[in-house]
Amino acid sequence: MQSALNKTEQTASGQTESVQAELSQTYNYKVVRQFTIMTIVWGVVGMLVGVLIAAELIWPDLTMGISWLSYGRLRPLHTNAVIFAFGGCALFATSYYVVQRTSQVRLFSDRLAAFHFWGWQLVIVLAAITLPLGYTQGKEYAELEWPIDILIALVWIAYGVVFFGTLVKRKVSHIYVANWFYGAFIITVALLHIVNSAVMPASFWKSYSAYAGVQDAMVQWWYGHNAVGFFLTAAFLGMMYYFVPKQAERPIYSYRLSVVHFWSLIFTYMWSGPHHLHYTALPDWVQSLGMVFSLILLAPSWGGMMNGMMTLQGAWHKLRDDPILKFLIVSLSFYGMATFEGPMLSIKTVNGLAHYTDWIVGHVHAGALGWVAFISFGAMYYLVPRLFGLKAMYSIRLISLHFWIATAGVVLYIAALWISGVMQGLMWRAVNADGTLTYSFVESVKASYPYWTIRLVGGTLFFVGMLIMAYNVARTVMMGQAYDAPIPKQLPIHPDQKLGANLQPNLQAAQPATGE
Amino acid sequence: MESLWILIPLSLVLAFGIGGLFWWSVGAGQFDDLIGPSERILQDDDAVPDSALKNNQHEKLQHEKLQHEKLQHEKLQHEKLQHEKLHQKILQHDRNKGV
Amino acid sequence: MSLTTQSLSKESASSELASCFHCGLPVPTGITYQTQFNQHAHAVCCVGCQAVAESIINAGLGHYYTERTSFPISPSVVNESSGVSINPASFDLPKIQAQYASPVGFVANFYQSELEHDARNKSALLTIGGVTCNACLWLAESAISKVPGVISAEINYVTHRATVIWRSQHTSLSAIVDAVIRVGLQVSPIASRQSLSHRLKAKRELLKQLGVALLAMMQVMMFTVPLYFTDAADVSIEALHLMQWVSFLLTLPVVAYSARPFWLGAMRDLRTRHISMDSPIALAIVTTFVSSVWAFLQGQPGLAVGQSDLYFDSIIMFVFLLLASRYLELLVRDQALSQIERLTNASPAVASRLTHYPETRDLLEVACADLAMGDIVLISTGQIIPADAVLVEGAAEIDESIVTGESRPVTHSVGDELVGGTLNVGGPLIARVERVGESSLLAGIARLAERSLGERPRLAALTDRVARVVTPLLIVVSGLAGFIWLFIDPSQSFSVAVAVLAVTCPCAIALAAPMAYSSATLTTVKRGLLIARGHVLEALPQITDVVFDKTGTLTTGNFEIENIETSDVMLGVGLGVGLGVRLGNNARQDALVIAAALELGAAHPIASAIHREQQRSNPAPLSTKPIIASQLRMVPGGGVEGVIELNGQSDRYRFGHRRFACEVDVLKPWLDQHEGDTSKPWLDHHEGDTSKPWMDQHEDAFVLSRNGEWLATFHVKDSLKADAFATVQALKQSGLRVHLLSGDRKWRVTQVADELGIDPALCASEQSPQQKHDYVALLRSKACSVLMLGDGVNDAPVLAAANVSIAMVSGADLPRLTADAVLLSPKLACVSATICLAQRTRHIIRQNFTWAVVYNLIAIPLAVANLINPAVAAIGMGASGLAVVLNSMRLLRRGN
Repeated sequence: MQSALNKTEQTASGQTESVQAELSQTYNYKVVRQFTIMTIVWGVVGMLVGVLIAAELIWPDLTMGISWLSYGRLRPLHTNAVIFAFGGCALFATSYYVVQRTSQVRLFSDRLAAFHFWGWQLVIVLAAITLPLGYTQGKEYAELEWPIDILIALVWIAYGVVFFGTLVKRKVSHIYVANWFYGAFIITVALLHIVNSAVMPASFWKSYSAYAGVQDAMVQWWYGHNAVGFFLTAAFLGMMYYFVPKQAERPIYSYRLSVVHFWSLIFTYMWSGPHHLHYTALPDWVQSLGMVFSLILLAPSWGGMMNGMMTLQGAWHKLRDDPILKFLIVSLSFYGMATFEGPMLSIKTVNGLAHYTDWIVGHVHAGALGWVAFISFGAMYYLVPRLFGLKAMYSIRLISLHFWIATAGVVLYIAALWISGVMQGLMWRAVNADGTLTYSFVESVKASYPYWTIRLVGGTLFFVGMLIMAYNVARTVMMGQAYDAPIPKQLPIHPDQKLGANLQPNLQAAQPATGE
Repeated sequence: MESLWILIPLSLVLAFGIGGLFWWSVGAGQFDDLIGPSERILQDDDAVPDSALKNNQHEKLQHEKLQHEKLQHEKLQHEKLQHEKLHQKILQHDRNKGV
Repeated sequence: MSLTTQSLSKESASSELASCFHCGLPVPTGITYQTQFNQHAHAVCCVGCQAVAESIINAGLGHYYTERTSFPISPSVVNESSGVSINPASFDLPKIQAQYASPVGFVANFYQSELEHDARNKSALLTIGGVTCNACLWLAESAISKVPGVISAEINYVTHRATVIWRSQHTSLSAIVDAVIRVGLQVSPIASRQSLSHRLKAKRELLKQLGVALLAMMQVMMFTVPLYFTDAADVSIEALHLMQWVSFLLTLPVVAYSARPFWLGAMRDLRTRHISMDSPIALAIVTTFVSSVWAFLQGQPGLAVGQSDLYFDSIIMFVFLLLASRYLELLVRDQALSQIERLTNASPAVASRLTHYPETRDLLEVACADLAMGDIVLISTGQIIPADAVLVEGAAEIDESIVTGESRPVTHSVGDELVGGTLNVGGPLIARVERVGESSLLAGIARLAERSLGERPRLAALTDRVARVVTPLLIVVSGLAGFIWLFIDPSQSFSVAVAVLAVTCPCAIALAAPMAYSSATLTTVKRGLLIARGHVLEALPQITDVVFDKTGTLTTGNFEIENIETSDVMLGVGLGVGLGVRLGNNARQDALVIAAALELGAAHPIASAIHREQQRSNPAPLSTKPIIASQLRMVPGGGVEGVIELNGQSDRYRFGHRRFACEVDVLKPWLDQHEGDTSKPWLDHHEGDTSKPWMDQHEDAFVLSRNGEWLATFHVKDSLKADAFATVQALKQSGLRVHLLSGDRKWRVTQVADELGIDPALCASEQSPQQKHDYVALLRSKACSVLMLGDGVNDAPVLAAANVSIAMVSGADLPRLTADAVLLSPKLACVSATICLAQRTRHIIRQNFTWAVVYNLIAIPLAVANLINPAVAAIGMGASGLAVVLNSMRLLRRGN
């Protein structure tokens, strides 16, 4: 069904390029390529920083007191790099790919897409500079100062315009479920970002939150949890719903369920935020609210997981030989685990033990490494050959190696922190007969060292896997050349009358049918 | 709990927005066919055609073809079982038709 | 899992039969049709498959063969089952066009707004049939899209309906229909689009209302749930007030929009002065909402839940649960109707009118609807008789299985009346139209469907009446309770009244039976049993006796060669004069080969039987040339005659009825010789016995002759349905008595009874229709409850005599049917399965009723005693109704 159209090199100017592209009717793979490459790059950077700060927890003098290499400065760099740089680029790459292919139309605006790309890279670079230098708003996952926040908002609006514009332009009436997840992600993140980042600027690199005290905490964690929920969950679910069936060459187990999954998730997600603030100054009833809804969320999340996994029904044997599929399916099991662990942790009594301990960090990384990173790896390995005119990656064996090393890394990481977390929680609340605390804080720190070491090993393994991926991708890119797939002719030969903006005119002269 | 003055009305606005979106999607027939779309993404062939490969790709391609054939062979073994089942079904079908 | 590899690997195993590349059925030996795909040649089993495969591959749709997960239905099977092929050109007749094609604005389609303005753009809805896997749908969609002039073609994978838009100046509906047929699928354009679009709109509307209610419910829960866990004093006044505002705002769309069905129902009740379920629901919502708004405006922010009079969340939950029950019921009914529509394979009714008969033979294709009394029509071989008509010219052989279930052709001569809807399997006929009327299968089935779904079983009607009495009673009780509380604690009075109103659930009682029947009906319809009368599911569990008719009910109506008796002459025929050339392995085979040559391409059932037998016995043709008969001539009422050259000698061969094939005298000595031979019971014949005319249709011997000389006799029998034995056993195991009635000869009936395990004492042979009727009546007089299975109109009086009757009809003249149910699928196992299902249905209805009664008995006193607040009451009511609906939906499970 492929036509013979084949685009070779891209031109430099965006305008001409898109006109040419429209005429030769290919998808805009360029921006997808750009984001894909940067996903790998930022993945390496973000994980390297992660390994560094994990090492710093064990050897605080590692960086010889250089302020911009200190733990406090680098941690937000790590979180921002892995979530927004690595995760973000993965989402942008895949969402642009999926929206084009499922709508059978080229992106709404190549220029805005280019602005999106370069703008986002600027955001990350600025983050990489300002955060180590100590410019921070002090809000988790929202540390960047207000000028960068404004830039983020502008870039995000461009992203939204391109994405939704492409959907409006679509030639297929049904909007595939993945696009719904991506769309919800775009809108909610915009909303969350704008509300949470409301500040009073004091100087160019300093501002004060528009909210105060516990109010700020509430808004922050409304943002924080929903960022996790929409950025790290809903959006990647969109990725999952496209790449799992494509790689498995099987339709989603139950498309109906995926639609129900989407709507139920949307209906219930907004109010889980308070579970980050149990036993704080936040009113009790708000905390309860958070707890209840976090528990309700278990159902739709697991529905999605089952849906993805059962897609492999009748094709489990494919897992044996296909490491890309391994990444995709294993990511779902981590997703299930994390979305079970999360609601459990939101229960007040459990939270009472776990809050502020390493268990939370373990939970985050189960989701981030096991779910987010793995599904992204799978998607990237799927995309790279197709973007560079190749049938397959440079080495399938290296993908397999990556998989096993990364899995080992994740497992070590999570296990170490579970133990460490529970131990810390128990130590902190242990009281003597006379009511005094049994352990001092520093004692719990000392007790945590072995586990932090194991965590470092796990994290390093994961990082090594990332390096393997970078190598594999680099060799693949060198082997191939930029390739833009042609848009399949949507409508058959029909008369030369123009049908309207939505319908693509057929460039061949049409033959009127005989008969009638 | 002053933050709620923002968050709650905001969630209300959002709720109405979501409701409107749901309304539109039902009316636009987004829920009319909940099987077709899952098949259609598989019908969309995004593999790189042979004509687009670079010259030095062909050796690699040969190698891959060999590997692919090996996998196919294994698949065939697996499918033989399926085939036997189908053959039985065909015979049954014939019996039903009075052959 | 690609089937191509299966076919390929199949061919490599040379010791087995090759299977057809297209349809998967075995390729008969000697057939050498092939098709090219992916640089390989593949064997196909017949011309039909070859044509279809080539169409697919030439259209560039060969991808189908790598993607499909199931073999498609073989084109030959398609034709056999429907008996007629669609003539695409008929769709272009103006009247037909008006029925099936309409302007674009009519369809709900993505491109609608773009294309509406051009009046030349037409649209149509087509149901794609013969779909065995999703790749077939892709194939149909792609095939239609490739027709030049088609603007859009989109298939719904759930309903298998295609929405097609095309430019009428460049193509037509016939081209589109043709495109689908060419790729081996069936297609039936939908005429009743109005009702379809109406149903779709109703479904969407209810879904929107449900969605709004659900969304509002989730949001409102967020604000009220925490309050259940905490002390109200912990929450600041402002926060409480804010949340109440939000709850109020969220309730507005629910009350104004989602609850519309109840408003409309209540208003209808007022107009017709007739109370239904909607009235108490509407009343509850209105009173609760108004009072809540009143309390809200008055300001009661400081009160905890249970103390305040704000019931916004209750209202929303109430509406949601009720709508959920309704939506589920609507889905089930809609599916049942869709299934029924899918069972049909309607071709539009067209006829060839002879405009200037008898002067000329000029033909004009007209819609059947345009036929008038007195019109002369030409009916070709393989065509359906367009209307009740009188035969004017030609000798007719008509397959009346469509009304009788009997596929042996019936002979008619000039002056006889032909029944509209039956199939002409003989030569062309000319007839004069006597009666016109709507012969559309679709209309008939649709009517039946509406009727069956509309007619309520007696039990359901009863519950309706009960609900109608109970409902006003409940309103009275609620008012009374409120009144009483005025004396106990006035502040509680209103909430008690509301609670009682809300908690009682007449809907559980009202839904208990109908929902179960709807679900059961859908399940039976999916299995191919179309219930036409409401009482069937109710009456089936009480059945004690099952009476089967033989022909067409237990038997397939297809012939099976039972035995071939050859004469000594036959030996010589094969060996020929001088040096022998065998045609087959023995004389029997030789006879088969010759008969097959004579029957090549014939539509008569005996022809298919012979071809099947040939394939099965797999003779290795030893002669170097295939045997071809020339000068073939078909004689209605007699048989077929042709000239065959064997060993340089041409002879006139005949194959058909005894009297046609050879002189009786020639046969007589041989017959006399074997008279009384009990090992050959098939020789028992009743030629000339005029006292039992109903037995003529059981003629079962065909004779092959050469130049009038007897060569062989083919004895055929009606093959039993594959699941007949299993069904009979299953029925017996459930404790039912199984009877067998037939007009056929005793030994034949005994043979069948033996094969199926039916008690001979419960069999009756050589029965006339009146005798059959009396048999059933006798059973009933002994207080037995009888289920009768027979063929269609022929046995109408007998069927009417039974408690429940099921007609075995494939494609039916349904408007004429008087049976209670129609078995559209050839599987008899449906019947035993349906009896089980009816029993389960009764069981579930009992459960539903028990639940409804128990629930109300407990809930009402609790509400009156002010132990339940309206919120809980609302949940209880809705949940109770939903529970009944969900319990009934257990009947939807596949498999018993």
